[in-house]
Formats: sequence, C-alpha cells, structure tokens
Amino acid sequence: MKRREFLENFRDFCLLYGLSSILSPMSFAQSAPSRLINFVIKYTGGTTDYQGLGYWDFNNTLSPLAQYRSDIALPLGLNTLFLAPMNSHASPQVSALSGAMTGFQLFETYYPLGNLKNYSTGGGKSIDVLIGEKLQAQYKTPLPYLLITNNEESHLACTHRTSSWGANGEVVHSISSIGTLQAEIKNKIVCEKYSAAVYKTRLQALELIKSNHHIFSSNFLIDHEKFDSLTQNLQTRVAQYDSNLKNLESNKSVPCSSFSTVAEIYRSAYSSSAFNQKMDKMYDLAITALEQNITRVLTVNLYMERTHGTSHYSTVNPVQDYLDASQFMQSSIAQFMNKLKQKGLYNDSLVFCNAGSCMSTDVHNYENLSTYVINAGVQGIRGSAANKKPVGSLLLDILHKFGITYSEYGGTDHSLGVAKKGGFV
Amino acid sequence: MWTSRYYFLTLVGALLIFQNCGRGFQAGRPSQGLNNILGKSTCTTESLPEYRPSALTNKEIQYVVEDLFSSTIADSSAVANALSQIPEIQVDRRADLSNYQENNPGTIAGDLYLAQLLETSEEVYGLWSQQADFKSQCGNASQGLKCFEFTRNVIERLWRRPLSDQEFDFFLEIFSKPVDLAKKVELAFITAMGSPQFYLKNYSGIQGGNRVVNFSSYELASRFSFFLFNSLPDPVLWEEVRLGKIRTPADLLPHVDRLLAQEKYLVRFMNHAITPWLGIQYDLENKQAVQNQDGVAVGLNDLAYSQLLSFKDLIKNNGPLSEFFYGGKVYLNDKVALYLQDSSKKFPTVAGGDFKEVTVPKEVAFRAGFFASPYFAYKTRHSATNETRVSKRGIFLSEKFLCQDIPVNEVSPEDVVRVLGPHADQLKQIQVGEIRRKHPSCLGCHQEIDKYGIGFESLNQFGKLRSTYGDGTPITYSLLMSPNDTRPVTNFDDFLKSLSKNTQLHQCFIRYMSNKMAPLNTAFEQPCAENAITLNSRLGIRDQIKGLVASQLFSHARKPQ
Repeated sequence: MKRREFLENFRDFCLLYGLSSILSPMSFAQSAPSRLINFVIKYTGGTTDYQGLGYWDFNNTLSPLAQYRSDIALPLGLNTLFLAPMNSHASPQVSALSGAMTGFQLFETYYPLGNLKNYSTGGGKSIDVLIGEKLQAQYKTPLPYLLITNNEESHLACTHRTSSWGANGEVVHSISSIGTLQAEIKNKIVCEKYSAAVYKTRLQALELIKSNHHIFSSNFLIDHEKFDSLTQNLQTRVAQYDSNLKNLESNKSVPCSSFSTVAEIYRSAYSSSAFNQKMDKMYDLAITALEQNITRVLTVNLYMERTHGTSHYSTVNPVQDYLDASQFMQSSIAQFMNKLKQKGLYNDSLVFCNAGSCMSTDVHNYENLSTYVINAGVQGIRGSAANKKPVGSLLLDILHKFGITYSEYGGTDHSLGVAKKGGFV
Repeated sequence: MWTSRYYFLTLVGALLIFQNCGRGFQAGRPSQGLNNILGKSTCTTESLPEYRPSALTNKEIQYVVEDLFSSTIADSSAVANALSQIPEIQVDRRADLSNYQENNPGTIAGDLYLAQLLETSEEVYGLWSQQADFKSQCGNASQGLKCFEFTRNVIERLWRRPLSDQEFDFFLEIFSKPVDLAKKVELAFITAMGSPQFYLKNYSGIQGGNRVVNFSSYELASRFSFFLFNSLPDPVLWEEVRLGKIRTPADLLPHVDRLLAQEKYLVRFMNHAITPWLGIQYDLENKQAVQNQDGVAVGLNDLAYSQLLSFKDLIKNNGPLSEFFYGGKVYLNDKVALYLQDSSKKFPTVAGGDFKEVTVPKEVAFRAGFFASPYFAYKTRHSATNETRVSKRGIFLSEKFLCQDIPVNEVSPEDVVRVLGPHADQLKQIQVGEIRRKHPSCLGCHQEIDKYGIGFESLNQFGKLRSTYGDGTPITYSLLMSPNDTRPVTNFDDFLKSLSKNTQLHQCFIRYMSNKMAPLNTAFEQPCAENAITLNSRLGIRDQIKGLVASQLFSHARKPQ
C-alpha cells in the first residue's frame, strides 16, 4: 500500500469513528489537498460526434493541459439527472458545484425545475462553500472562498455570474471586476503603502460614523453585521500594522504596488484577446489570494457569449467550432495552472473542472457531462459512458477528499461510488 | 441549418408560454400636450414603488467629486484607482435585479464598499486640500471657524441637504478635537463621505406612521439630479432649493431643459439612461470590425455612435421618440456611408471620420431610424450564419423595446419537422414565420414576434433594403400591426412608421425611464409607472421626461412594510 493510500485510509478510519481531532492539520495536509480550485465552464465541454460521450481528449480540447496529463482523472458517465427533462443551461452550475445535492432546489430562468433528483436535506451549500468553510477553519483564512468570473452579465441569475450556493441556497456572486477583486484582496492583507496613521484615521472615521447612530435607525439601510466586521477588521489591521512597523523590512506584507491602477476590461466576452487579457490579471490576483492564505478555495466561472450558439451546432462547421471554443477555455485554464505551478501551489491543490454539458444530440446536453479532476491521486478515464451515475457521486468523492462527512449529503442516488470501489476519485 | 427552430414552442410548454406571452399592456390615454400630462397620475398607495434607497456607484461618486471640486479625474490618478476598486452593489434576490444597476436596492457589500469608500475619500481629500479655495479657507491654523463653515458647506453639498442640529454638533465636535486643523478637516471629510447620508441615494429618515413618503424639497432636487445626470444638484439647482424655490416637482421642470442643454449633463443622461435602453452602451467602445457582403468593414462603435448622435439630436430638439425609430435623417461618416454602399446617391457633405447629419432620400437603398440602421441589422443577425432570422429580430424587438418577456424554448429537431415539415430548411424565413404564426403550438408567442420579424425581412443583415432573397424569391407580406387595424402593412416604410408609433414601444421607454427615476422593487412590475404619464407618440422627449418628473411616481413612495 502506498503512503498516500495508507494516509487516506487512516483518515477515513478516523472520520468513521469520530477521531478526526487526532489528525493534526499538518499531517492531514500531507495526505490531502489543502486547496480547491473549481473551473465552471458554460456550455462547452466534450463532444459525442468525434470522441464519444462527454469525452475530453488530449489530442484536441485538452491539449493545452498536456503537461498535467499524468495528474488528470477523466470521469465518464456522469449525468445531471434533472427532476424534469430540460435544456442544460443550468447544468454547469448544478453539476459542478451543486447546492441541490445538499438540499437546495435550483430554479433557472424560464425553467421550472433544474435540480438534481433525490437531493437530501442539508444546508443548501455547494461543495466549494462547504470545503471553503472547512479549510477556512483549518488554515485560518480571512475568506472561506473566492469566486471570480470573466463575465459582467448579471441579468440571468444562476447562469453567468453565479455557480455556488451558500446557506439555504443563497447564491454567491462571482466578482467580475478587476478593481473589485483588487479591493477584496488588498483589504485582507497588510499593505505597505499605508502608515499606521492612515489606518488610525480610517478607524476614527468609522467610529464616528458608527457613533452617529441615528443614521442606522432604519432596518433597510445597511448591513450592520458587515459594518461591524469592517470595524473589527480595521482594528485588527491597525494593531497588526503597529506591530509590523518595527520590522517593516522583514515584513511579508504585499507591496501596494501589486494593486496599482489597472484599466478595467469590460465585455471580455466579445473577443478572445480581451478575455485572455482580463483573466490573466484576475488569475494573478487570485494566485496572490491563495499565496497570501486569504482563501483556500477558488471558483472560476468562464463564459463566452458565442459559445451558446456554437453549442447548438448552428455554424457552418459546427463540431470544429464547438471543439475550438472548448479548447479555448482549456487554454485559459492552462494559463492559470501554469501560474499556480510557478508559485509552488500546484501540488496540494485539487482542481475540478466541469463544463456541465456535452454534445449528445445536436445541442448542449446534460448527459455524460464533461469533467476532469487534477491531483486527485488517480489518473486516466474513470468509469464508463455506458455506466451512468449521478454527478453528485463525483461531488461527494471530492468532499470526501477534503475529509467532509459525506453521508449527510446527496440522498440515495448520490451515495453511489463514494468511498467504495468504483468511486471516481 | 437554421436555428430559429430552437425558439419554437413544444406542445408541452405551450400552456406556460401562452400565459407568459399573453401579458400585455393597457393602452395609453390620448393627450394634447405637456399641459395635459401634468397631474394626471393615478397612482394608488399600493401601486407606488416601495421606498428603498440605493447606494452610489463608483461612477456616480466620480461625478460627485468632479462636480463638487470642478475637477476632472484623470484615469491614472490615485482617486481614479481608488474609485475603480469600489465594488458594485450586490443584490440578494433575483427579484431585485433592475435594468439600471444604480437602482439595485440590494444589500450593500458593506465590508468592501465602506473600506474602499474610505480610501477614496482620503484620496479625494488630498485632491481638495490642494485647491486654492481650500488653502485660503483652511490653510492657516487660526482659521478654525472660517474653515469649519467652509467644510460644512462642502459636507452639505455631499449630503445634498443642510445638516440637522444633531449633525451640526457632530461635526463641531470633530473640530473641537485637540489636533491640527488639517487633520480635523480630513477627519470630518472622510467621515462625511463614509456616511450613509452621502453614499445612499434618497437617504431619508422616515418619520411617523404614514404609509406614503413625501420627499422634502432637498430630496426632490437630489432625486431629480440623480435621475437626470447621476450626480448631486448642480450649483443653480442647489441655490434654488436653498432659497426655497423648489417646493413641488413642477418647480423642477424648467431645469430639465436647462440641464439637458448642457453637454456634460446630456452626455451623462445618454450614458446612464438612453444607451442602456438602446443596448449600445458597450458597443460605443467596441471597435470590432463589421463587414458587409462586399467585405467593406466598419467599426461597430461607428455604427453605434451614429445612433447615439441621432438620439442626442432628438433630445436637443425635443423631438418625439417615434422620430428616432422612423425619421428622415441619419448620421454618416465616410466609413458608415461606404458600408451602406449606396451608389445611387452620394452625400457630398460626408467626408472623413466625422459624422454629418444627412437627409435620406426615398430612392436610396437604406432608411433612417434605429430599426432600419446597419447597427440594428448587425445586432439582430444570426451570429453563426450571419443571416437574418425572423424570430431573432422579433424577440429582440419584443424583449428590448416592447418590454415583453419571451420565454426561451429550445426544441428538438423532431419538433421542428413536426411543425415545419421535412423540408423545413428549404423554407424562406417569411414562410417559417407565417407557419408558426398559425400553428397552435407556436402562435402563443410567434404570432406577435414573427409579425415583427417578417416585417424586418425587408432589411438585410447589413442594413440595406431588399425586395427579394438571394435566389430571387420576392419578399412580400401583409401584416395587421394591431388588432384595430383594417389596412395591412405591405412595405417596409409603412412597417417602420407603424412600429415607431407603437404604444408598447413608448410605454416601454417610459418604464425604463421610470425605473431609473424611482427606487423600485422590480423592473417589470410597475403599475404606477405604466400610468405615470399620458402616452402620445407626438410628445417631445424632454416633455415625456418632464411628465415623469411631474408624476406621483417621482414625488411619492410607499414606505417599506
């Protein structure tokens, strides 16, 4: 038995008998991933016409990821299994990070039902949120998770800018602005640009604002909880900065120059170059967040407007157009993976990618979904297209990798393959 | 392949779609002019929009700073950098989503928003403190009282109203702190900019138990300025409200003409009210090359800009909205003119990249008006095949300009064959539309959307008129544009003329404008907005705006439960 397998089995044993507390974070980290990276791609997965059901292959769409091939597992036969037959507009979100698995009933625009069959009762959270909360407690990160997207559109809820669900199925919005992402990260670190005096002035101002208490008399004006957390955040930061001032040179704070002015790149869906330009900047910022231990979970929503039409096989050269679009998305993921590796964060990151659709007829479909998992300890094709399993099985496998008690979630259907022979990862 | 089939109705979905597509509008009342629209509102308490303040966007904060300090924020400046990092407002529920982002009344992402607002206010203070008037009023430590008054005036402008006694004392206390004068001003300024009185539009302490909010004169002025140009009242309006000259919404009406006559405010009104409705706001910056059938290319930004200029003229001239959709003039530059390639009629005044307004003679192969523009033709073409599609154009028009929700329905190839027959791909678009308009599974939506799509078949995908398809098949139709019509429309000019005066089109415009003006709950449930003013396609656009400002929709709101 390999060391990794032994550690996984030992961890499973501890989880089964309620002995998780005897596992130190360090020993756990050595045998389990300490970061989760999710890529949720809208519409463009594998294709049935060329390579079989839902199949992503390294000669074509996955070629940008060739160097990671030995770490990639390709599960086959995954189905969203919607309650009602429907188009797969929601399937990337459902199948990739389903909150439905934990009890949230997803409604998609124009369609009555889009959730998985036989979900169990749970908190409604999607797996990135569940894992994020666990890793936040374990690694003391300021943020449980970070969600980013190239797409600015927000008019279709649960499609473009949301993929994850918090408590009771509340949607978690992805950040689509470079400026906002900068602010999110900058405000979670000690920034060299500011002196203690600046932080103290801000703190004073906040206390004055708060003391002007009559302005908070209406219950719809402001989120008191977040305001309080900001005050505490700044107070903590002032104290932290005060102590760091003495050893500023040896301080590991991030120079504020990392957050200098950048031109916002809007409507990146229009062109490939704008898309790449925007995601390059956002990937850099996200890597900073991972590097600085601001979060351990990153979810990336990728979407280009033209891919919907492409996934209808509506073009002159439909299959090739579809594969080209799919490959473009994979090249963006490779762009991120290379940065991850460059920073030494690759080895302990589990990467899960799901297009949530494939082409089983002549339109994007939710059967035999295109997915892969990197750094799950297994490699190559897992399962078969003929042996259909609910996508929740894979999601539960991933939860299991992070030591989350899976028996609470997923209902009868989704227990298939979990921690048993035949499990996907 | 033709993908309009994907918008067919399945039999299974027919009932749902019938219900959705059946939601129509009440016909507007006839009107004789501006005098008749004032005071005609019939909003009941229940139909008034719920009062919900919304937070300033980073763009609005930028406008406020520029207006208040008579300064332009350079893109590379520290202020611009701080502004760019103020997060957009997040919303909690889909029902909160609005067509105008600045009106989204969802929960503020408080932590990040406030942190960035404080950082921005530090930078803005840095900008302000370098100005000559600041130095003259607060440059000397002995100028405490003078500086306090100076600062107080700035804070009142920021908060768009006078300070209450309590707030006055609050800032006086800051000036009493044992720190140097500059520090006092900085602290007072940052506190003022970080307070809800600044960053919440329509902030007001709701007093008493009455169910309807009556806005004060200062609140009316602020609501008006943010509606019209997304910033605080300009100095003239501010002075009038301070002198007690703004008592009712009617007192604001002359300011509509005054402000929209100024380029700065007109541009903001265009950017935040008109271009989002037309859908051209992003395309104005999009230099993507668009090619016609002969390979002649033009930037999409040029096609969009031509429309922007036409609408600006409409506002300047107080022309009726219908003129924008069916008029006699068009803005062209050399590239757009070449793209339209009309050899039968040259426009001698069009040369170079500058746009010139030209009258379009009937004999040329294109028409003036948004719905006949190469921009509209490009945006409504089928992107994969670059051809026209009846359903695509019909849906685009219905959703965007008639405010109709059209359900998406992507059907199987089998359903397509069942409705259109085995040789469906050989049918012309007009034939496809005519079949769907009569088929029981389809007519629920397609009767209307394909009616418009069929009329638009006279316009090719590049914005030029056509009378036949490529293979010579004539493009003919006979369309009854409304149930009361007795004479069918049989040509493109009559089609455009009828469409430009469509009641739903005008009502949809009013909805969009009212949605920007009032802090509404949702974008699509505004019974008060629909009856806010009397609709008249001959009414000038500035008069329509005045009608909205004069309505109860503007001056009243329902208190939240």
